[in-house]
Amino acid sequence: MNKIAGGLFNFADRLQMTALNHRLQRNQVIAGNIANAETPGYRALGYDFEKQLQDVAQVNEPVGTRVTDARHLRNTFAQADGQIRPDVFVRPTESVGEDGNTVDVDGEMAQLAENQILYRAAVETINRKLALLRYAISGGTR
Amino acid sequence: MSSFFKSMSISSSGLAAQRLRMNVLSANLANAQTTRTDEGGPYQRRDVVFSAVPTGRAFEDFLDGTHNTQLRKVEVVAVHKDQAAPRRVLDPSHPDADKDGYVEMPNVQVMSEMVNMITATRSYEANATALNDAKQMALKALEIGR
Repeated sequence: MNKIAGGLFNFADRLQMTALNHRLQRNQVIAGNIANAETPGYRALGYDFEKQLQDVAQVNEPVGTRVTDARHLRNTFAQADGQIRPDVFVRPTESVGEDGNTVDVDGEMAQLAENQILYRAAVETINRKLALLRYAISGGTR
Repeated sequence: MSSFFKSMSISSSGLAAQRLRMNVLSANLANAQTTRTDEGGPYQRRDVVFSAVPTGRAFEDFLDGTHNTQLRKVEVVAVHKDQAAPRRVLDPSHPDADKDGYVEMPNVQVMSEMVNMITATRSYEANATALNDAKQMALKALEIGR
């Protein structure tokens, strides 16, 4: 993603493209939680990438920067190579029922809807960027 | 990337599990008055055991390193018989009545079966919504650059 058309896509665009992948991952995590809403002892999983994305955005460097020296500044959430790779974590919530299951289906459905809307927003943003490029390529004739 | 389909396969595992549960609950309701079974004695109510199992170990997941060991789908690992004592009903005219006139009826509680059925329906709907959501995302992704 970083190699193709380096000049056409700026940092913010790449951030949007990264966000698409993370939203997809989050969708999987939520689907797993909902499927296991009635499995005794199942602990709900979480997936938080926004915080990390925010930190990278504040550093204002391309997402793909690499740490090659121990003295290099590095954002605390990124992995050793500077990439954002959030892990799925067990959400530290209390059990809802007495069977040890911690899935809150209403909360999961709300997250699912939110995730879906933000995914669509990211696609829309990328589409508009592409439309701008197309407009420039055609010399503003359409 | 097969990620859209992984999300869908997790949701469909939930759909399948809840449907199987619904079948078991229907069998319980249908046999709420059954006094004769192959094993002898009245019908014993059945219930499903859900278990969280690792999602598909697809070859390409290992290949591109996206295999996530924490992600779980759901599976019905067993259908167990409720060992609660049968209901004893006084009905001396019944052919299966014992010498005191009592008939052993199944340990099925119709009310709690109905409640379980509603829960299963709601869970099924939640999984169907999640599946639709993944589908919508996949379709939206196809619109990139259009």
